[in-house]
Formats: sequence, structure tokens, C-alpha cells
Amino acid sequence: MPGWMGKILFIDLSSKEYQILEPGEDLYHKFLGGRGLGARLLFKFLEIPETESLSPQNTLVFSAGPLTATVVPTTGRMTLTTRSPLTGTIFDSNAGGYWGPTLKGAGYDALVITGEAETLTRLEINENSIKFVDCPELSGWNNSRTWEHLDQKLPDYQHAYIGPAGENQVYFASVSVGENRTLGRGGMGAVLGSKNLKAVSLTGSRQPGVADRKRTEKIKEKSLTWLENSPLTASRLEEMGTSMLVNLINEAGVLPTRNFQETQFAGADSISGESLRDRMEASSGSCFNCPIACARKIIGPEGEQAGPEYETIGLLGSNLGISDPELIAKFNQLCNELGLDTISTGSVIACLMELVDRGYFDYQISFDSAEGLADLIEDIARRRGLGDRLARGSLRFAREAGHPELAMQVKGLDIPAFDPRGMKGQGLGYITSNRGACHLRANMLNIELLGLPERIDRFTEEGKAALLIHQQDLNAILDSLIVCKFTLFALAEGFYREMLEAVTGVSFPEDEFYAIGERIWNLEKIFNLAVGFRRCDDSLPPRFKVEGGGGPLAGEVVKEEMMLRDYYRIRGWNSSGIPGEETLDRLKLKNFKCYLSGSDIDDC
Amino acid sequence: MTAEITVNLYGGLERYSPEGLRRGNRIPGDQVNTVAEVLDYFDIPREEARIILVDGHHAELQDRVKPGKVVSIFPLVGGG
Repeated sequence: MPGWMGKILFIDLSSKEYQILEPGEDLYHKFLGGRGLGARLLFKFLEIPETESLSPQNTLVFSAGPLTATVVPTTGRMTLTTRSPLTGTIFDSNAGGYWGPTLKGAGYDALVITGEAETLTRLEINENSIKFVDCPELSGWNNSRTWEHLDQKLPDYQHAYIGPAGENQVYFASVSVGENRTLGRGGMGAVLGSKNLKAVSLTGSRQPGVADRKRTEKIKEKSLTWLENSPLTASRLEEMGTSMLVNLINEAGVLPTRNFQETQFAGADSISGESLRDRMEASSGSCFNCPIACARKIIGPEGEQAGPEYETIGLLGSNLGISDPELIAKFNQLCNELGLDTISTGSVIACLMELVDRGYFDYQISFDSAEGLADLIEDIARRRGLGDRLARGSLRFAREAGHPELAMQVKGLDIPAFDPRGMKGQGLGYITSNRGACHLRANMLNIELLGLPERIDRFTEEGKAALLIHQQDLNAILDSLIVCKFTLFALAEGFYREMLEAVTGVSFPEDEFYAIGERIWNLEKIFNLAVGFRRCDDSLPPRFKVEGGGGPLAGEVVKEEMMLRDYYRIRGWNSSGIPGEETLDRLKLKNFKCYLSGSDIDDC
Repeated sequence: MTAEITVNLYGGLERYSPEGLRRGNRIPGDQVNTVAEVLDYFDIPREEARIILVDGHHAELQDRVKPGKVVSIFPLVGGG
């Protein structure tokens, strides 16, 4: 089976037993790998809906895709899929680096982990053996110390691991991959923590087969040329990283400011990519087989450190009213060391600040001031004092404080740094995303603000549902192949199908190719319906529906009902957002209908 | 007085500002009429100006620019 290794490793941490499974080509052809394979395997190994996110029965699926570890550029990514403690939805996250190709090097397309170890444990996996290693001595270690230790002990291995926040089961704890890549969102680190799993280390030199080497080589050359011809993928991402977006997003009036109460920030330029480049010397880094090299390093107060990405600048900067780039770099470093998602960390603190500002909660903190923030971030990761309450995420915290409307989230996942009032398609994307408010499920930024491939009216609701659905399905495919979304800046869509066919030797006619993305999307939706998500969960916080923004967003609100009606209809779902029989039959998801019994109840 | 047009040049385009200014470049209001003329005023090649906002709204080369407006010009940017 060229492209795939054909094997899945199943590990039970409770019994320390493992098993190698061979799922057969039909499953691969229907779900590809990465995110699609993760969703499919979760249905195989999870009791749905009974399994709670932080219970031993919850299951982690680490997976690679059919293009992973091939010569095709940007194929160094890996996916982790599980049930999220933050959202309660199915959740997948993907990261770059070298871990994904090494999973295939060890001989597997996926690694499925369930159960719970008795003491803090790490796994060593190679082509011939699986070792369970007790590691209580690593308890509480931050990420850089953990990485240095593992890298020194096992220099030929690639490592995925958690920091203190994961061990302490913070609902938005991240998982680190390699020295500085991250599975940031959804609290997957807490799931590893709940299983007493500190690290998963892999090595191996196997390689996936390639069906048509000549065609694959040609595709590689062609895509490299395109990536080198786009100023964005050729140099600008390397020079400035994602932080280059700050000034554009601010001028366009969609930069979250003070918990999304405002949409433009007077200090934006001082925290922009241009300022970071000018003020802090930097170098760049790349993932396996990637010419884009978007990872930035800056010289911080304690030496070289990862530079803050755009999202971090938005959520730990403007959304808190912080305009000092050195402070943002410091908080970013702190989150990275502790293993916290910078988006949710910023969001829950912004929510606290607004609660305090409005007199709903008593605590010494305020917008525009960094006083006490570093300690508070540390307290969240260590679950001390107020930090323990914040550690369960903005929605739970705001609910406890009696004001759930002040949590800027959808399905519990905090809204990233693009205000939906000035990007209506992005708003619909947040509402309908199967993992909660996420900007990467559909990348409407490209179309609505950057004009790639061509610009459309960002303020209108009309026609957005159809466009968004296409983007969602396409991105489900990219997340399953797995290739980096930044290639979309330079490559045409049809090219991904050519890559898949050349590597696997399997023919995927165009309609079948897109049906894979649609199938994955619907399967994820079935999971969420089965665990109790309903029509009313597809909704933005009231702020975005009743309060206009500033500057170009004056008077702009999101009319979500109108977009949702279109969205459900075009998806082939009923008015409650439940996939119809015809849709499921067409997508070969008949066997999953049983999960939908009872989900037509429309109350919440 | 808002007799001037304010021009912000981001993402490396500040090199076209005579003062090397990223924000707050000023053009007397009577010197330019359109977005294209703003680009010409700073000698910015058309293909380098990939996103142009006037008061935060996307604008085309032929769009008129009145005194008091803020024009922000970006090269091709991306990320997320």
C-alpha cells in the first residue's frame, strides 16, 4: 500500500499491553490519514457518548498521513485526535516538526493510546519494541528541561511531551512536539496528563512506499518552484513569521482588543511583526522537508526563544491591552515552558479582566496593565488559588461568575485573533467548526482579508455558507494528507489531489476527492451530536450579534441565523443541523446512523 | 484641520517613505485624487501594493481618496 504503512499500534497504558492492527485499504481510502484517520479510529476505540475527556477510557490517536515522510514539501506534520476536556467535542490538532515522519519511520500510520498508567510514564517506541518507562523524576518539569533531558537521553528519537500544565490537567494545556512545535489548542495536554503520560518518543528508519516515483518527483519540483515564486512562501514568512499580520488586522478593524470590546488597538504597531523584527534579533527555523521556514526565534531577556506567533500577540497583547512586545514575548515564553495554549490563556485572563472591570468579580487586575500576569499564568498551570478556577477555561469561569456572555468562545474554545464582525464567513466558520471557534478549519482569512485567490466582500453574510463549506472540506483533506496550510498561499487546489494520486497510486476522481473532506466533516459532526451538542451550541457570544465594532466595523454585527440556514441546507442537514439519511448514504457513513438516535431533540 | 491624507506603509513598504516612516506619512490633500496616485506619490510599484485599505475598507487603484482619509498599504501578507 504505497503512501501508507498499513499498520496501527494500539497501546493500553493500564495493562501495559499493546497490539498491532492492520485496518485494510478501504479505511485509508475513505479517511486518508491524520485528522480523518483520527476521527475514524476514535469511533472504533471510544465508547460514545459515555467516555469523558479526562477518564482513562478516553483515547489519544496520534497519526500521520499518506504524504507524511515523502519528498512532497511540508509533509512533516502529525495529528493528535481525542475528546477535548475544554470543549467536550471531538478535537484534533496538528503540528509540524519531525515527529510525524518518524511515526512512519517506526512503521505506523497511527498510534492509539488508551488507559491510565499508575505512575508518570513515558513511552519509547522503535521499529521492534515498545518500552513503558516510569519517570516520576520528571514530574513538574517545564518543557525546555524535559526536551533537553529526552534529547540527551535518546538523541535518535523524536519526542512529544507535556509540561506542568498538562500534568495538572489544565483544560487548555498543550502538547509539545520536538523542541518548539506545539499541539496548541483544546487541552490535549490534559488528556496525556490524566493518563500519567509525560512523553512519547519515537525512532525508526522505515519509509513509506511511493507508487509513481517519477510523477512524485515532478510534483515536488513543481511545488517547490511555486513556493519559491510566491513572495510569501519564499521569503516573507521566513522574515517575519505570522506576526506580519498584526498591522493589517488592526487597520482592517478586526484585532481583538480588551476582550473583544474594541476592534482596533492604538498600540498595534508596537507589537507588530515589523517592530519585533526591528527590536529583537531573530533567526528562522523549519519543519521536515519545508522551504517556507516560518518559525521565528527572537532574542529575549533570557536568550534565544520562540518568537510569538500572530495569535499570541493578539490574545496576550491587544486583547489584554498590552502594547509592550517584550512583555508579550515573556508571557509567550512562560506559556511555552508551562505547556499552555496562548490563545485560551489570553482569553480567560481577558474574560477575568472584563468581569473585574464591570464589577462582577473582585480581584486585583485590569486591562492595559501587566501587573501580576506572570504569576497568574504560573498559577493557572500549577492550579493554585484563582488559577485553579481559570484552568477550566473561560466559559466555565464566566458561568461560575454569573456572566457566561463575557467568555469569548464557541463550544468552549476561545475565539482566535480575528473579530468575526468584520469577517462574516470567518464568523460562520467559528459557529460551525466541529472543534469550537477555530480559524484554521476554513482559513477564511485568505479569502476575506488577503484576497487569495480573489477577494470577496468581507462584510456580507450572503453567499458565505457555500464558500465556507468548500473551505472546510478542503482543509479537512489537507489536515489528513497532511500538508501545511501555508502551501495554499502558493499552490492551486487541484495540486493536492495530484500529490495523493502520485504517492498512493490510487485514483481519486475530483468529486470523490472532495467527498473525503465532506465525509470527515460529517463524521466529526456525528460525534458532537452523539455526545449532546445541539443547534443552540452553533452560536457566537451575544457581543458579536448586538454590539457593533470600531472604525470600519461601526454598526457591524453577525447575522448568524441567516447564514446557518444556508449552511445546514447546503450541507444536506435538517434545520436542527442533523445530517440527513441521503447525505450519510452518499458519504458512505451509513454505519454511523446509530449514533444519531435521539439527537433530533432541539432543546438545550 | 484634515487637509492631508495620511499614509501608512507596512510590511517593508516603509522603504518607499522619504522619512522611512511606517505610520503617519502625510500628503497634502490637493496633490492626489486616487489610490493609484498615492502609490505614484511614493513611487511604489503597483505589483508590490497587494492590499490597500482606505479607513479600513479594501480599495482599488481607481478609487478616490479625499483629505482626512487614512490609506494603509501592504505587500502580500499571510499567516494565521
